[in-house]
Amino acid sequence: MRILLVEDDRLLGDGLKAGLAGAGFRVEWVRDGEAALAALEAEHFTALVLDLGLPRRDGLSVLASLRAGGNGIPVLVLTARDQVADKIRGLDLGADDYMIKPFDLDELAARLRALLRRAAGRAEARLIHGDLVLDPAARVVTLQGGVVSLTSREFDLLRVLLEAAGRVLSRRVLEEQLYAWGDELDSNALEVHVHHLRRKLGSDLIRTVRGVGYRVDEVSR
Amino acid sequence: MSLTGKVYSLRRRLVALLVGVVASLWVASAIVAFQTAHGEADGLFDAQLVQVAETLLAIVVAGDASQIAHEMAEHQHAYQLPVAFQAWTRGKDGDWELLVRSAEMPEQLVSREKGFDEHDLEGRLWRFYAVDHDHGTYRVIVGQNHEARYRLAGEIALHMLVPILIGLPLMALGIWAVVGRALRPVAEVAAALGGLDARRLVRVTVPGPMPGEIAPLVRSLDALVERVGSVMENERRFTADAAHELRTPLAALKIQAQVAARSPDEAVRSHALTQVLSGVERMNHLVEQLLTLARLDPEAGLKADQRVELRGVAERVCVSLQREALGHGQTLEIDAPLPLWVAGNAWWLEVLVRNLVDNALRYSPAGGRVRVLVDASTGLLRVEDDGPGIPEEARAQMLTRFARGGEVDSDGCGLGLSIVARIAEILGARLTLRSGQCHSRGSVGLVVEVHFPVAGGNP
Repeated sequence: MRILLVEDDRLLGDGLKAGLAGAGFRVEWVRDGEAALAALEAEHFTALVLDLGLPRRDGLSVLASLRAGGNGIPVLVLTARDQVADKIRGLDLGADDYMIKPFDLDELAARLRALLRRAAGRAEARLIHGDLVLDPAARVVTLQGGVVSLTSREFDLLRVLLEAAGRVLSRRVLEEQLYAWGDELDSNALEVHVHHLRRKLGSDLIRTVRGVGYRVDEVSR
Repeated sequence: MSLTGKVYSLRRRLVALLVGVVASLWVASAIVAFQTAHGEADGLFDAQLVQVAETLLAIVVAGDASQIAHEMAEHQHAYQLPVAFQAWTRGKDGDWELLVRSAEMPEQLVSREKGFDEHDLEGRLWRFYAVDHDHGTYRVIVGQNHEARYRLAGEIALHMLVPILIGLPLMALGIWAVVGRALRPVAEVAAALGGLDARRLVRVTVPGPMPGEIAPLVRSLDALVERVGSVMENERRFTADAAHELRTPLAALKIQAQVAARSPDEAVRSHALTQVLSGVERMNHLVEQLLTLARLDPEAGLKADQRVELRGVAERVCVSLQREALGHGQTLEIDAPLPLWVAGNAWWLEVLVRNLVDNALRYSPAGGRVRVLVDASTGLLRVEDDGPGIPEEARAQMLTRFARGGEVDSDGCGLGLSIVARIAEILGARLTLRSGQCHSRGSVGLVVEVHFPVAGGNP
């Protein structure tokens, strides 16, 4: 759940980064349109939170060039402009959702989760894998109905793996999803989290694909 | 525009005017016709008098006077000659003796002159013609009442007046209709104007062709509508921009407050609270600047009619901002050897200088230098900073509301330079922006100069 936040306002960007981090997102924050495009070019993000009034390159132009380049990343637009025409233009240019300033932090987080869910092709808010249920909004994991206590990193790792169930995720992709820029990261941290998850949820849930990464098998519902 | 005088109907006025003019022309021509007819009748009747007199004389000379009387009576009866007559002969004693007369004639000699003569007879004006024969042996006087001539002339004049008496009301009706029709575009323009929506002004559109007399009015109205529309559009954009500018700091405040309220981490909480305070600071600055702009509105009623000493203003501003500059490790210098008197308003000038210096400090890096110069001899105020400057192509844009120097971190709200530009405009001062000369760290700096129209009393 690595989000790229593009917001030129120092106070708002700072607050959003802290607030979304508190809601379980890994947030990278850039402050202009050019930097946003460069970051999207270089790395993988699961969603983009985009302010429209940006220096150097306008938000709508970022969005347009993103979509023109075939990038289908879910985009939530933040704007102070509430004219219907502005909204229509934003949505037509490929925004997936739209929030008008000032907005509520919880609503933003909920909408982001909904965006990610839709992007993954799911209607169900919770991730269900056999008798294992992960609720991204409540940040609660239950196994056979009983709550399992997980650290924040363990929860995020499990979510990323469950969302990509059936696919192999490389170490690099997982690390990108879990750690924000500047986070300290020791070489075997990922293995440690996987180890803890296996201990709490059973050893056969997360499979190691040697030399590549990890995978959670798909289950038929 | 307001209706100060009496309102009158163009239509009614035109009808009255036209009917009046036409009626007087007709009456004048009837008078002329009467006089002409009268003159003609004079000639005609005079000729008749002469003819009748000559004929009578011939008969009188040739024959019997009683025969004449009889014949004349018959004659008169048959031709209805409007002629009266006397025939005289000179007796042996040299007096005139009446031979014969028509009934209207008295028994005295009515005219002692030969030829034409006019005088009253029984209270009425007559015209006589007397003719003699045979060295005064016979005299025939024919006379005619003037009434006949008047009657004829009157009849001719009346013939001219009758059609107009019937025609005038018809003509008035016609003019009423025609004028109404001609004035229809005016009514249409009025209807088009009445239909204008004050919130959405569009050009006045009138169906059909437009008379040249009304077109300038419509063009002026269109121009006015356009100007008002552009002012309104400006205001609308400003309101939208202001809403936008207020929403972002509000959003920041809300998010920071939410983070502070729910983060379990003490460090995160305290950081967010600090940010909330800084956001309130910024909102405060923005609101102050908006109020300043509102006070610069011409309707706020401030006048630039004082003489203000600019050096003192600049010194006060620099002293008050000195602490802030020192806080950022910046140097704020002022070079103002002589007082400079300018026409204006103390508050405006302080706002202008404060915005310039404040801007310079905001955009200058830590450790940078801001220099203020007041040159009394040229009426110049110059504020020079160490900041990134403004690229030439962006300078005009920077003077508009809510434009910020894009590349730098600043808490500016984008109103400072537009406030300065507005005040300079009101004071008739010339505002120029240019790059500084030579600076380190790749920043070119910004030089803002305000050239004041110099008031009297400066050295």
